[in-house]
Amino acid sequence: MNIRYLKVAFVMGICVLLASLPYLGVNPYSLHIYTLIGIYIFLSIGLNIIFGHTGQISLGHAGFFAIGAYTSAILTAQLGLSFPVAFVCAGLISLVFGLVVGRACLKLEGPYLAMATIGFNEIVRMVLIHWEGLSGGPAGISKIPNASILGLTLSTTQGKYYLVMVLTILGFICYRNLMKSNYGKQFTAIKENHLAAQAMGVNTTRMKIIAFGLSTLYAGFGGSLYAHLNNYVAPDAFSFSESLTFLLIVVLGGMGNILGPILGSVVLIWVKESLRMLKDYNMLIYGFSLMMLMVFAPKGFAGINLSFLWRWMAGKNSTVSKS
Amino acid sequence: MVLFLEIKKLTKRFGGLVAVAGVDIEIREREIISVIGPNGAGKTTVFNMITGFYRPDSGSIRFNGQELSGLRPHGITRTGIARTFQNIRLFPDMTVMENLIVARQCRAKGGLAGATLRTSFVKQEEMADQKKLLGLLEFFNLHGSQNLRASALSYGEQRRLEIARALATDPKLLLLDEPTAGMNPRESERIIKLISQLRARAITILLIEHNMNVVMEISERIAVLDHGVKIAEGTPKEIQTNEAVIKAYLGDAVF
Repeated sequence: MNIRYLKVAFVMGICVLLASLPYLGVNPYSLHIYTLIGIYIFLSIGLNIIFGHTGQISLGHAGFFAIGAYTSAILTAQLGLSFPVAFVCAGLISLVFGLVVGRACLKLEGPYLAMATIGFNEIVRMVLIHWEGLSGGPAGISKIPNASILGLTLSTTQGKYYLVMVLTILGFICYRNLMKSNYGKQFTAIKENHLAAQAMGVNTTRMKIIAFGLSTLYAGFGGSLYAHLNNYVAPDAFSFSESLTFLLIVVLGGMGNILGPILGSVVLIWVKESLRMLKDYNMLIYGFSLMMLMVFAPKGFAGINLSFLWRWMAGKNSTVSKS
Repeated sequence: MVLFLEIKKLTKRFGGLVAVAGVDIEIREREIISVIGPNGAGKTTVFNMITGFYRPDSGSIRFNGQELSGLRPHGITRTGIARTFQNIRLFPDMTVMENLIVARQCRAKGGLAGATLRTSFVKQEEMADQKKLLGLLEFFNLHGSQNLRASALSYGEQRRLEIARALATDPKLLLLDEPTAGMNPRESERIIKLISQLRARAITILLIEHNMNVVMEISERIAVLDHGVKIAEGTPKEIQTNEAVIKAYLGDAVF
């Protein structure tokens, strides 16, 4: 019971911290980065569902990210619809594409699935570059209106921060509930032993498509938030290397770990930003730290066994069990 | 009268090899039936056809009057047939309890939306399931290990967990593929006891087994396959003295 209270207190503390962040003297640029982290959490939750939990790789999530972002951009900037409508549509349209791609790629696994999804990513990018009438071509769509909810327009960095934070928390809660439910268990069962999952009554076809759909739904929502954060979308933001970043976050955070997307996004984006001052050495150190992380924490940040820390805190010679 | 499980003229070919050739097996409710035969006789192939992993080339499988061939494995599990595997196929990185929850979901009524919002219906269903599954673990003497990863269990415990997982789907017919393979005599004894207790729970059992002590002790009837053909069927006593069976296992007499 004590642990439970501790957990509740911890979560409440985090929420209070997140809510008061803009008032703690954080500069607008940092706040913008924190907002971006929220969007990356959306994307990596999506990718974790399909890759981390269900074991089906996707290297094309930037494509679904783009579909969400452009849907939201077109609906608000060109058709004048409101943000909540555009946000929901962005998720749903990405979901529809996800269901189609998921259905088409059902029999593919491993490297073959990876290639098929990279292909999808490229198709989306090429369409966005060349279909100028729809997407504005390489220049993209600018002047995307700020998000407004219930008459409240969120035009400041602070307003955008709160919008993304609240939606990220809601998105995370839904994700957590799902993964703790028997749906999440079925996803993992498919990853662990496809045949046994079938024998235990798991409709593996249906579950894989659902996982892919959920995954792209999250990517679409993330895309919509991204469009309204920058008020501008262009095709080069949705290249294959962006898909790789999502994959990196999922792997670093901890594949199939519910906290993985949060830890991965926070650390990766934070490290990336703080290394910027090193200019040319930035990528060198970034790459090296990724290598080291994979060597010393193969299960990601969420999988790091902290027992050594407790032991160290309790003094060198005493042995304290993990629990 | 509708038979519980009725297998008729079941045939399966793999290329030029006829793995199962026109096999008939009938099972009544609450029976314990064993399928025996030398390696490669087609026993596991029969299992794979009953559970939908292979599609029969011809013949029919009717369960409580319902034709099974054409259904996919998960659909067959939902009609009330569960199985274990010859080589253990647990979900190794999931906990013991999670292994059972995966199996239990095929009776769950809460949908995707309910799971996302964690409605009180879903919570109550989860709690009721949890209680039921704990009882099941207790029955298999695994209740102390519910939060361990399945791969952390001993070999014998993993075999028992596989049976427990199959039972979590609420089957009426349980297919056990060599449940005592690789076990020492004491562990086998335990499995025999568990199997006979299962019958008291109104579960019908179809068993593939190489351990003749086990087969003779618990089966009411035995079907013998050899090269895909059923060469004999009868009570343990009849099978023990059946000449065709002895020939299949030991070959022709040379003297």
